[in-house]
Amino acid sequence: MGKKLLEVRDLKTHLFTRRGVIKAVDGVSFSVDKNETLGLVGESGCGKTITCLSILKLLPNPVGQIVGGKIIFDNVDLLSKSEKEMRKIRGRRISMILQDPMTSLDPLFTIGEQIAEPIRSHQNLERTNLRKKIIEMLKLVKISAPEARIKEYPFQMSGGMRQRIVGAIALSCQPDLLIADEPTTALDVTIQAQFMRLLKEIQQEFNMAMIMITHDFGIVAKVCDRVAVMYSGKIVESAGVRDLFNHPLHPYTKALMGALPKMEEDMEKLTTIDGQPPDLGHLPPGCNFAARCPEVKEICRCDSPILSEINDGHVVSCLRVQ
Amino acid sequence: MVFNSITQMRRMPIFSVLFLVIFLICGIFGSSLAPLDPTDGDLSRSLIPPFQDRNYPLGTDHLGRDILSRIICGARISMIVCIMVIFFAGSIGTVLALLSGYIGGKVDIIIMRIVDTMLSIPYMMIAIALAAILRPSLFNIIILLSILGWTGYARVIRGEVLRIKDSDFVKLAKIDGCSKTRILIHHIFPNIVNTLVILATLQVGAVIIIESSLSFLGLGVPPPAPSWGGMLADSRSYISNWWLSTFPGLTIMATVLSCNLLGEWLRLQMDPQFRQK
Amino acid sequence: MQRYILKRIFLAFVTIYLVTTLVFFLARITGDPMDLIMSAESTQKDWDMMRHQLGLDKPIYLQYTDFIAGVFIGNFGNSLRWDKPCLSLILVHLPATLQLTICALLFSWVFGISIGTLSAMRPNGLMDRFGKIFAMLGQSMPIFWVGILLILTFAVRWQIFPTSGRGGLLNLVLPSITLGWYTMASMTRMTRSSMLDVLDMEFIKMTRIKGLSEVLVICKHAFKNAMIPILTLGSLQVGILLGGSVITETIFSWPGMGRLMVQSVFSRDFPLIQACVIITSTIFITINLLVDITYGYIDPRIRYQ
Ligand SMILES: Nc1ncnc2c1ncn2[C@@H]1O[C@H](COP(=O)(O)OP(=O)(O)OP(=O)(O)O)[C@@H](O)[C@H]1O
Ligand SMILES: [Mg+2]
Repeated sequence: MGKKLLEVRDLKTHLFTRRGVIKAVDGVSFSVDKNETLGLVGESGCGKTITCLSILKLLPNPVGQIVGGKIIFDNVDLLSKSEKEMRKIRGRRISMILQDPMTSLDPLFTIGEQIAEPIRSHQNLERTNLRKKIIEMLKLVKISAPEARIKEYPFQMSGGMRQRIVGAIALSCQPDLLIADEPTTALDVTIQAQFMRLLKEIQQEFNMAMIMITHDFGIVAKVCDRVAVMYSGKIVESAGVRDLFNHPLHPYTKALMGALPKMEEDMEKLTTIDGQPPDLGHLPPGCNFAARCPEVKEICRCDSPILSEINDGHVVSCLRVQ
Repeated sequence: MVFNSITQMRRMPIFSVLFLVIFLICGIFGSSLAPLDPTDGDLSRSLIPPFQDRNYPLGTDHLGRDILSRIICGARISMIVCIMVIFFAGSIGTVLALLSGYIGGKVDIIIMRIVDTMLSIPYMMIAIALAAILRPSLFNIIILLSILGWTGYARVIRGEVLRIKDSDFVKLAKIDGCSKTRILIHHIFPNIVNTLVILATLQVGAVIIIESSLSFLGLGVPPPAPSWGGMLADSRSYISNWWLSTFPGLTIMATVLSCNLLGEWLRLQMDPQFRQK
Repeated sequence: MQRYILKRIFLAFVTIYLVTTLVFFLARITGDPMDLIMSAESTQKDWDMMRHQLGLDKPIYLQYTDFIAGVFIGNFGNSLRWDKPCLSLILVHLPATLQLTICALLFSWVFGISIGTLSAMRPNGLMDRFGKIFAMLGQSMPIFWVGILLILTFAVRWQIFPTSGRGGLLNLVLPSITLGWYTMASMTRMTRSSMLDVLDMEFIKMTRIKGLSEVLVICKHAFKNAMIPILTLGSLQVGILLGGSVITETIFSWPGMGRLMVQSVFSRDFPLIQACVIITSTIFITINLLVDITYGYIDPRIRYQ
């Protein structure tokens, strides 16, 4: 095991909306080693994006607030840092690719300008070097004719190109940690694969750690070293990729994997998870998954499970397993 | 108008509604509610400050007329103008917008050109010019403001019609073989009523302001009939007697504010996109 | 971009032409201009003479072509009261109005945009609450009352500013605030709502992820994106200001075109009224044209159409 780069301990992020408090992240712990890729998997709305935005301290203002926990990055707690210090970390040490490439770029500025911004605010480069650096970044993400593209605007690009440009922006200062929030859901399958391969290559080149948010186990299998499965604001299971695929322990993980379509199988065999995830504003007592769990027991409805290590590096939070 | 829940009703701007009800009552029963005759002057009791004489709680003007009574009776003109203008401007605007949006083609181009042209003349300028040509009278003010006011309706409602025209239920009605008139009356019109109500409420404020501005310039309903704008115009020669301008001004502001708040609230209720915010 | 600009310029000319036509016909549909010009005591002979002098005895289509041709070369006829060409009269009064309008516009933009932006940065904060009340009140106060209130407090009670007339900078303060009051309120609300819309967008989050300073995020990215609805409102406001200048100039005895227009209304100076309407509209349309062109510079999607 490598050295720990990021450790999130019992993170609690609540959203104080008009309709009440939503516990979007409710006691999440995980860690990412240097050069490692962690997959963060879970249904829509389970709090993946909010978890990652908490790491950057960029929650929706003024609704979102971190109410507890620790985020230790490179041996310092980010929660104790001021906004000014955070700004030095954002973009340079931790960077993020947002979910939707179509809206992640400012429509009114050229591609070149948008890539230049983080470089300009973190490094002192003179104009010619800056230009060289931008072109280099565009080449890195495999944009053809980068010299001409610099002067173009987002609306002149296809979705796949925009996604790669967002990648170029996020990578422009060679961050230690890249958070990729479902970077490919908006793209079609072939471009998805291309982009994933590209990210993987760059990761190797830069010695970078990654958190890959996705709900596609196919991607997890290809790019991740370890996986954390998230359900309604909590991590329910976390293990190495092999381990998890071979011995999924939590019923939710099993169900998620069952919901994964496989080409050779009949579509009829595709299982779905019945029911809806619980409303994060009004959580019932007991295990959050109890209402949908196929293996539910009496105790699950009143006691909350805690995350505990079953065997080396494989943790799970399920009363039935423990 | 469907209100989704009691809680939304509760957020209704109660004071605005109350004030508007008072405004309507004053407008309808004005002269019998007023404590004194609003046009009856007496120079011996001119310029009495407010809160001093019980008979003239808001004081008297330069001709010795009771300000409170004048404000109460002045509501009538504003009310009549508002109601008539909203009726005429709303009808003209809606009909033209329906034609423009639904028939499209040349009709649409011509109507929208007229709207654009009207909107590129500063509103107040054309109002003053028309007021000059038409000569001031209650009837002419209504005509004038209606001529000016329909464009706002036409623009917004045409947009709505275009949107609804493309919607599935209208397409279905077409497949069912409904006639154009039937579709217009039974399918499109009911769907623009909400917008119409919002536009009308928001127009009340604008009409009151323009009407009183014209009165202020001496181009509104001619004296001695009391009008709020006219009272403010009179006050200019006696500017240090603050009550002459303050009370009519406050009245105009409160009325316009009430209409704006109510209109805003209605929009929040009826426009689901807006409500989410 | 060039094609876009040329198209806009062409459209502006069309609109000016249409405005002229509209003014011509509105003036004749809604009543007989002669009724306006002549007083009750005038004889039939006076009527015929005046009719002939103004060319109102010709068939309507000839009147129309004469009128359009005249406007095209800047000939609006002679003012009845001053017996001078309308255009030169207006040109004499125009600078005062432009000065007032520009000051009011600056006043309302500077305050409206900054209050709106600050409100949007902290929704429901102190500034936002204050701004909301302020904007609501501002939109409900008729400008003539604002003017009277300002005179009452700052000119009569405290005697800081002069009550009327044009002169030094001090004379400009109260009229500008009066005229810009309403537009400032609406600018505040528009800036707030379009800023809120923009600040909600993903690309703003992206600029923060890049580690840009808040100043850059707000002033460079958010503001430029919010600029288009703000400019749209701004160009509409020019119309409101030009119209409002009539009232403001009347209150403050400001020697501009608005007062000229009111005077011409009371002296039944029909050609001058027409000329005032057409010229203010032309100014308004020109400003709209400039704003349209600015859109092109701000938004590449319009530029590359
Ligand atoms: N700005 C916000 N205001 C209120 N609630 C929010 C906001 N953003 C997110 N939420 C709520 O927080 C919860 C977690 O949201 P989050 O975006 O983290 O989900 P996610 O796991 O990223 O889902 P997806 O896979 O769809 O992206 C959801 O229930 C969502 O409704
Ligand atoms: Mg998400």
